[in-house]
Amino acid sequence: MSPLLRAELLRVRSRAVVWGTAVVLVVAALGFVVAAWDDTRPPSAGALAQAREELATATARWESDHAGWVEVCEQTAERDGEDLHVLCDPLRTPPTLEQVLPYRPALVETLEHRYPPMAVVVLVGLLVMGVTLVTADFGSGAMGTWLTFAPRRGRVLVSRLVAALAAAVPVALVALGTALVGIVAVVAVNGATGDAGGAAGVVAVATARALAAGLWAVAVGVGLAFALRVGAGVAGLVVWWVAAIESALPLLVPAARGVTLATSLRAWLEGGTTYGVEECVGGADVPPVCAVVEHVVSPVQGAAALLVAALVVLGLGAVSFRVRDVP
Amino acid sequence: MSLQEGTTSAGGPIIGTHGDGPAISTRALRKTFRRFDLSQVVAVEGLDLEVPAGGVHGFLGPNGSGKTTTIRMLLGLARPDSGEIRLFGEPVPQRLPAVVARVGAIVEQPKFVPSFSGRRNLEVLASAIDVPRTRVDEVLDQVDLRERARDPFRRFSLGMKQRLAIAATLLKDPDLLIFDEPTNGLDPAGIRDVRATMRRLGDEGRTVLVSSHILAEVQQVADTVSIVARGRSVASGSVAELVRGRGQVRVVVRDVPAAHALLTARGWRVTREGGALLVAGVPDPALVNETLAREGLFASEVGTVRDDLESVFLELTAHVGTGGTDRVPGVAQVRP
Repeated sequence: MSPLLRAELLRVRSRAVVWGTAVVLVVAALGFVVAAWDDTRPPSAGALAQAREELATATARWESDHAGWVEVCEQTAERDGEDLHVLCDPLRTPPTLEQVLPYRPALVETLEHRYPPMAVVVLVGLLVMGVTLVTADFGSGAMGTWLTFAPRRGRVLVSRLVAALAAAVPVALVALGTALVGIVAVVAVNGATGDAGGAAGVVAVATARALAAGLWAVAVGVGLAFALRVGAGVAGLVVWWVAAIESALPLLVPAARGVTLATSLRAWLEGGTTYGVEECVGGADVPPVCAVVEHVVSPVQGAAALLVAALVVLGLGAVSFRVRDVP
Repeated sequence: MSLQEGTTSAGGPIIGTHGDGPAISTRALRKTFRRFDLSQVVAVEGLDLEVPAGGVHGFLGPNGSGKTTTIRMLLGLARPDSGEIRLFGEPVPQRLPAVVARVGAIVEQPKFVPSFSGRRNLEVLASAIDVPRTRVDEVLDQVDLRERARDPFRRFSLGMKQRLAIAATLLKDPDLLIFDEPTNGLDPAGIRDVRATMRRLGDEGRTVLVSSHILAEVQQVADTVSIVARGRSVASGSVAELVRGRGQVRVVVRDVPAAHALLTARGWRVTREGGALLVAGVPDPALVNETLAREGLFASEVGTVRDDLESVFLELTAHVGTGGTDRVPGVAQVRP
């Protein structure tokens, strides 16, 4: 390890923004844990009493009417050629308490629903961290002092990028770990674990995708910070990008939806995504016929687009850092 | 700040001693900046500078004369538009990495990571140049900052920040130290300590370049000086050389207007000081007396007024202005 990288790692470990980002992300993770608890909590005594009342009413109705329901159902199934048992057997059995209670997802479903969105939170947090790790030094003038000790600017950029990525890994894992452990714990406490088969796969894939997205965000943040040097400048650019490129451009040019970062990120985080573009066919004599054509973006395509974007931003940052005077 | 005897981390010899080539040299150095309105601002204009190795060299100039910009170019923080810079004979910025270990610098105010302690800031810098951490304690002792070293940098007083910056420069055990306005904002005791530090470092055989607009400060500590105005070098040499021959003759006569006219007609610069005249540019005071006597004007008092660096400075920079921010057609000269 070069002395410069060692110094950057030493330095990044002491930066308040790294610890602050970790705290903020852990707090955000607790929000997902609370949501999972809310999803899976057992019904309260009041809700249970209300459900029993509803069950009694439904049972009384079933007892008086179910013969007629079954008859109508059988006629419909015969007419439409559908499976008689599949369509009508449920009407032959009386309602149960579970059917009138609010739905409680099991562990795997809760993880699928509540854990992957943490990736977006991690991504935003690490983007801010990556930006701040660099812009703070330009703002305080510490970058100038640093360069009087390490004047090779390319090496300074690379070592700072590597240090930021290294700091991002534990920060992201702590946040994701908090969300994961918390969700599993509250589901278990609520007695809603159910069949947990497949949970490990869901967690492994979502964690890997979230971590990679977080590292991408750090790299983009560092690149933007070296390019613009001021946090407010980076924030302004990001807001402009979201408003102009991610939001307005697809409205004007629908095909551009395929190359936005939002689409690429969704493709990466969700294992693929689709977007629709209205395409019309017709000639001079024939009125055009329009239809929305669905385009598929694979996770590999999304990852490739994100990688290219990160390299472009880092390249711009490197050029700016090498060419411009340092305050 | 009780600075102790010079300690060296590497134990190697101090290279930049008197008699070597110049520690710093610049030739035709030029630097311009663009303003928001796209007009061009010239900060340094064809600067030739030569700083001999060893001793303290004053870098004098009015505010806005390009001192800080020049120092920033020496350190590779700003890129010159044209011209040549050499540190210990190596071209900068191309070969700066090869000589940066021999150069310690404080540019304007000391700038460190505000949330880190003084010690942490030094430890990180020491780690970047592969200097053992024990060296951090040594330099903290040298600037008498060890007891407060665990305080966050943002809570340091200006004097403590300056001392920490000096400690940082000493981490490298450098042959060349560059101090830009090092006593700005310091109290009298701090100013005295910094001056003593610069003098001691110069006496150790290191080269100290100190930029300042405080002439008394430079006259007290510097062996040699360079004076710049509007980004150009207007004089350089030893302090004694610059001051020598620039004394004025003070003469008291009864008919002051007649004497003024007579001496001015000889081509000397004459100014009134109460009932006396100050005559500058005279090689020998006897010439003044002789000139007056030939015309029947007899002096009741003739004496030499010793000049100081301030007078020299004002004389040299008077014709180019001191503000440095007034614009000339097409370009302007300011301190960025």
